Amino acid sequence: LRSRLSLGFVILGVLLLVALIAVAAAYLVNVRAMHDVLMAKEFEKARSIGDIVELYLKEEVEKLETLAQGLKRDVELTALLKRYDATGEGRDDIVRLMADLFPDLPDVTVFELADRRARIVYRAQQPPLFGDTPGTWGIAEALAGKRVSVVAHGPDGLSLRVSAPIMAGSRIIGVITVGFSIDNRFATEVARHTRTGISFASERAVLASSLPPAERGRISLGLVKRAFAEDRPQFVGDEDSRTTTAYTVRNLIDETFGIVVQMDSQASYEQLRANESLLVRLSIGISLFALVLGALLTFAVIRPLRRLQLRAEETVRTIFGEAAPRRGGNEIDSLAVSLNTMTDKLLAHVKDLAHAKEVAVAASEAKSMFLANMSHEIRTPMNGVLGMTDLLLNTELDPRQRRYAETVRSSGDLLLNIINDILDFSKIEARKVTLENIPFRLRETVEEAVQAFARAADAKGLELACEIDTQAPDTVRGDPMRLRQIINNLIGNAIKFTERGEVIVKVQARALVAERMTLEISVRDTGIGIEPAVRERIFDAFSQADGSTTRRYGGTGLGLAIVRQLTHMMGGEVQVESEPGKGSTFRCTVQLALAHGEAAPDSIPARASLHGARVLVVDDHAASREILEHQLSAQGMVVATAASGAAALATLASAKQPFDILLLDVHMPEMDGIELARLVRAEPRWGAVRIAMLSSVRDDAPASLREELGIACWLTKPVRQSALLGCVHDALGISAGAAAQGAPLDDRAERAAAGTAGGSLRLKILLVEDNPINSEMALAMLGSFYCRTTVAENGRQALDALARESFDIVLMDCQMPGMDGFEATAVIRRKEAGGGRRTPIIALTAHAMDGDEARCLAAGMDDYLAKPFSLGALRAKLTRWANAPD
Amino acid sequence: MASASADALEVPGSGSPETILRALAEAFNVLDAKQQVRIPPSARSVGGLRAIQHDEAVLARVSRRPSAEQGRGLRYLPFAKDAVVFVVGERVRVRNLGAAQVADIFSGKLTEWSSLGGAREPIRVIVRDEDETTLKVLRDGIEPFRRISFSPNAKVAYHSHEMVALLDRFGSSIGFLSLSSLKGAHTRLAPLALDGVKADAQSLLSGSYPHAIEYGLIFKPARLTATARSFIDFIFSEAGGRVLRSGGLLPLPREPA
Repeated sequence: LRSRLSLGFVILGVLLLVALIAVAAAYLVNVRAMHDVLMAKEFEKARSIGDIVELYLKEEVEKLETLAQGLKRDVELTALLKRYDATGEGRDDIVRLMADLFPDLPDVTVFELADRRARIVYRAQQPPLFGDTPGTWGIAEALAGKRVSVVAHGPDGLSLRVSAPIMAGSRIIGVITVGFSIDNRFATEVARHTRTGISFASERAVLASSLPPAERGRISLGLVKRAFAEDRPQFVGDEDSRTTTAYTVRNLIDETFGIVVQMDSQASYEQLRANESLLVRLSIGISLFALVLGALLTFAVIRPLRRLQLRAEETVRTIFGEAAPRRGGNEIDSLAVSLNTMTDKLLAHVKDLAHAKEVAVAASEAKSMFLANMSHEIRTPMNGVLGMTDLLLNTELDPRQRRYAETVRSSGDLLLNIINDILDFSKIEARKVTLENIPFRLRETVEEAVQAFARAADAKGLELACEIDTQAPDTVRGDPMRLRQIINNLIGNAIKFTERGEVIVKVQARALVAERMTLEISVRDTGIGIEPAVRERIFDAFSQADGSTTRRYGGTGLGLAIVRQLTHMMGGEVQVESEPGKGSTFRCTVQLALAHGEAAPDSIPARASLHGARVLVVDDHAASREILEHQLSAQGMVVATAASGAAALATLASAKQPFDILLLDVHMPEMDGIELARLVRAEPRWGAVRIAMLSSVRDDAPASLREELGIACWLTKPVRQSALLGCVHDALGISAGAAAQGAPLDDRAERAAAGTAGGSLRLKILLVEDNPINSEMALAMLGSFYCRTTVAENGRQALDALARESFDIVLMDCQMPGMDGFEATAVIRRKEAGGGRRTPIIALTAHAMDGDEARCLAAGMDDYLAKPFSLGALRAKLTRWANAPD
Repeated sequence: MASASADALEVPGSGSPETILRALAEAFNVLDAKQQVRIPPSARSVGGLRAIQHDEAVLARVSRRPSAEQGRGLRYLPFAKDAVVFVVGERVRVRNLGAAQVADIFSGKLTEWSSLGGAREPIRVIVRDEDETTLKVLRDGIEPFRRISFSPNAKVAYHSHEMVALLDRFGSSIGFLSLSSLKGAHTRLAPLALDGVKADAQSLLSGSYPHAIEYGLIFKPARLTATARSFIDFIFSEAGGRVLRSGGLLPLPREPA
């Protein structure tokens, strides 16, 4: 039977039980203690009664001694006894005299006279024993000359006797004995003094008692014997008669008696009862108090427990839609049932979730595989589209055909960007992206990223400027490609949404802590801005300010989401400040490690100091002016600025010291840079000054004009610091070197190749490609470089071709039927290890996933060109490897 | 002489070895003021046992070996043998009795010293209660004495000191005592030779006087204090042996634990 008994009742019951047990124990202990106290009191009482008895007997003995002393000096008695001793006559006189004396002796029951031979002459008590020598203790001792008191067992029973010698001169002629029987009368007399019942006993018998015969029979000889044996009192209490009987042992005179004292303990028992009654009342009170206290405590415990129980039941109902089974029992049982139900269901749920996770992971992997495959499948035809369009654009086309072809090309580029964004986003989401940690040149990386947007900015007539904190370290450790991707996305975004004005990129080194630095990159534009309501959402995937934005500006809306993901991966964050209609500033931070002493690839050689050189910057654009001033000042140069040609002329004219170099923006209202240069050159006193020009990409002054005006170098906006400083060095003749030394080889080569698309390379190429379209496109591109190309459709054919003849460069597709590019490369490299010439192998692959490049290089390839590739990119790669030393 | 301090070791128990233990305690107490022993008046052997059993004392004296039941959890360590002798009051001139005479006297058949060659005086017989050790020794050792009933006129003493007092009080009395109790009483009481053999350490050692009582100490070993250990060591020491011998006792070798 399991009734739903509240825990409160159980606790209360237990508390009550414990309280009752404690109270009962306390009661019993107290009652026992009270009994002990009572017994101790009775013990003291018995002892004092024993003292009283002893004292009483001593007094009685003293009385007897006084009597005996008086009698032995009785002249008449002495004379009669003297005659009797001498003649044997006169006994009747003696008897008469003694009989006369006897009634006057108070309380005396033993009264004897013995002659000097201890024979009885007179005896008041029965039997008379005249002439006998009963040998009673005391007579012989008195005849020896001293008075003696003794408890004697005589023919008349037990008695207390005092015997004294009667002298005739110095001669003892007899003994007088007085005393009394130790009998019931004596015991009653003693009891009268002690106000108790008194009995005298030996180990064998009760000798005398003050008690009535009925009560006398209750005296225990066993306890008397035990009192003798243990030499200590024994007590018996009788609650019915309210008496206590003490069995004690006392040596009285010369005999040891058991003295049984029956004491009236009425008062003590009443006190005991009163105390017991008080104890009972106290016990009940304490129990009730414990009950009330327990109830309060139980209520305090049960209330939150009940709330918890209800909450648990409600949770089970809410989560699982059904109530926990009710099986009776108290609150804890119910709570346990609810929690167990919840646990069981949660465990089942967790199991389901784990299964769902496995399914999701499998789906994610399938998605990644799908993305990789799709990437490859889309890139392959895109390669054909873009490549063929490039080739088409290099042919003779009428203006309308060219416009169409260019539209195809730009649409293709856009599509490729979209594919790249989706792929990147998916990889990051799937945590498939791992950041590299390699040393790289911070400044160059940023500048290259900015430089890549020069054309796009220029095409929209935007001012694109970049300022890098001069305190920023040259070399850092991190992932340069992903950093560049962040900057690309931010600048691309800014240019896309800015119709006029400027896009300014600023890079600042913030905190430097424990070999780590925080890099802040901000991109400020003067574009359409972002409404506050949508500012929070713009970093979400597939989200732009609103739907119309997508329609108007295009794009996937993934760029900023990728930026946020990458900055988070790099330990930073991204924020935006914006004012609709006025522009936006995106600010992101990333964590980078310092790379002391580590050489970054393509490092720029140290340059001589520019300290103290005087430069005048002339630019109508305030932001550009400020950036240039900042960059040059940081090198210790003395920088002056002018916002127009007229102002520049005025500054030149008023300068106390001549300027070493003029930095002129080509495009300025009223007086442009070319005109200003002409005016400067026309003035002989400024003949020594060097001139450097700043222009947009579309400007390209003829060499003749440069020579005519003595232009030392020509910089393209946005100006990279390395290029600027190189230019300044060159202009001042401090160091020989290319004006554009700061630009990386690839970039330069690409631009050079783009500029001279039809330039001759005349290389002997082995193209390994199974896709006929790609193969045809590549053949066309290579043909445009006047390259002689042999085509192999798979790795095995490539090996055969290489066995037959040698090639300057091998362009190797990776995925092919039969022997793929990786395997073919490995075989080629093994064969070359035998001492043959190492042929550069450039991978051509639509595998744009992370790790593809590394896999190609690991297989023994030298470079990597992702499909679809442009004519320029192909030419750059060929140029690089054609000129590479063996 | 150092006086016993308030927290001196008390050795309660039998009255028979009381005298000799007092002498031992007196000799022991002068050795170290910090270790003092006091011998309280007789509580009989049963009182000593009770004190140890109830942890009321750490060391007690007994004049008989405890029974197996009484001695459970206790250690009994016998230390001396003492002769039990018949003793007469100061007016008695008789100094030697035969076993049969003794039996006749105590049973009340002989009532006058004159019948034994003494003065014409009544023989005052003083006995001990039947549980008492000296009586047991005599009943066990003297065949005629074994089964007699004592004279109804005899007085019963329940302690050694009571026996001494009664013998002293009644000059024509006869009783029995341990020899050490008699020597310690410093009275004019006289011991009797029994069948011509005087009781002393030599006759005890030789066995020619066979009526002896064994004294021992009882204790719970775990409760022994340093003073109690020292006192036990002293009793079994050479000095302790001298005290025992001077009291007419036969020292016993220490039994191994």
